[in-house]
Amino acid sequence: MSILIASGDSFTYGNELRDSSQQPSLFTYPALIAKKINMDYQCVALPGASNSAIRRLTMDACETTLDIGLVIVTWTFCGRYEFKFDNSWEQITAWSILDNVEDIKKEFHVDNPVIFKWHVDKILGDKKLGISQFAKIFYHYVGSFEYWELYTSLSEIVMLQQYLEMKNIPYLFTSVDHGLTNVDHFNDDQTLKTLLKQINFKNWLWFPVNLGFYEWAKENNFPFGTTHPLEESHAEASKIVYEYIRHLSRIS
Amino acid sequence: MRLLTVGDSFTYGAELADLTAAWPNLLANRLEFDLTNLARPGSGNTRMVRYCVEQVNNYDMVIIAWSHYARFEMADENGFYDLWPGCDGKLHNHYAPWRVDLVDYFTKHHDDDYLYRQYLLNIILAQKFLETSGKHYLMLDSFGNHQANQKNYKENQDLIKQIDSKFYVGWPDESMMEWTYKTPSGPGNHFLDKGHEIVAEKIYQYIKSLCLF
Repeated sequence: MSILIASGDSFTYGNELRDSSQQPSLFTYPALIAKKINMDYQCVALPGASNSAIRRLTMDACETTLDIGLVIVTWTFCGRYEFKFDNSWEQITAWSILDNVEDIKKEFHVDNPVIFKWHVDKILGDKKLGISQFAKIFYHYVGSFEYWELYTSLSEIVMLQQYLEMKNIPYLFTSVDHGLTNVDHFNDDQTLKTLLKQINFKNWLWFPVNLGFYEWAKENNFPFGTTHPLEESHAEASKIVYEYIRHLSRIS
Repeated sequence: MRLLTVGDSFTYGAELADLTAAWPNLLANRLEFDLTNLARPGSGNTRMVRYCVEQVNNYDMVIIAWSHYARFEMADENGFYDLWPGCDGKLHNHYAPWRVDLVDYFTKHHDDDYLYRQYLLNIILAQKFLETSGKHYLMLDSFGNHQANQKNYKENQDLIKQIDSKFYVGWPDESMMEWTYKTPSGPGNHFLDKGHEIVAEKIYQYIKSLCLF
């Protein structure tokens, strides 16, 4: 049986879904699609992943997996970055600057003690390794610079698309929000426009209308955990994505 | 024909008495092309990719002379800047004091293998981008990368096999440094006029061998 590789952040991992405490959930929309189209499911999503990490993990998976039937990538918010420090991959996000339990409580409004502990462990671990101090400086001055966010994310998307097309691997891209491709407020910027033009939007799915998965779930009032849409939204999303995949196979 | 060159100080012509003696000018004169040389001392490789993306529509051919693999670009509200772990971060103090802290952190904690892979990814991104844009291109290395290529060849086969060496002068064993070995250099270790002549000639002959024009 061929394999469906799913890549993305916590939405693709399935954080807060009922089976996701130890491993990627089988209730996410990519997992449901794999079942529907009779493919084995391999999830390489990483909670908190940046778009660089998503590109890296997808390429790594494609290098080591035989008989890939489809790759579904759900790109994340562009204000996240990945670096490798001291032989360890680090995701730098807006949350990386939190370094005490009170701030974590305020930021995440987490009721579930398991998820709360996960956030506390991650952030206090970052503090111990000195990442928090780096993240504070980086995020304050570099990571929050909108142009750079968009430029680095679009470069990663183009890079992965080039790779998948070179290897003739069928793929579908979508994202958690639409900010990633919204370069309107950089009207005169040729670089962002040129990168955007490189993206093959035939293989890109927006949830109706022009929304990312997270925005769409919010706008349609699907039940949420603390910050993640729950099973109902994934089930509904899987129908939309499935129809799009059928549409793509008809035209290819 | 319009030629764009991007690179670091070796392509800029650092330490030459006359910048028009830099290899991009010599090459453009020989080919009878109009030249724009956007090379810049200390340039990181990500900056070169960004220039290609920004400028590609204005040129018929692009030559990228990659810098040391560990150089990369960042940006903040004061603009773009280049970072090289180990370099003197205080150079940035004038523009933005926080850059010094970032350089310090990268210097202490950076991962060489990661930066090398980022360099390979930049090569692949630029090659594919220029191919899909229908532009002629060539690539070469300024310095330092051929040792890294030898050291890391096996571990990075997944990326290396994606590089089209046909359009990469000297890949993977040579850089401008080998071609200009023992030619006169300035106090900052940049080769001078003779070295630039050699580099220009090498690239000219490579272009001829490819029958690009």
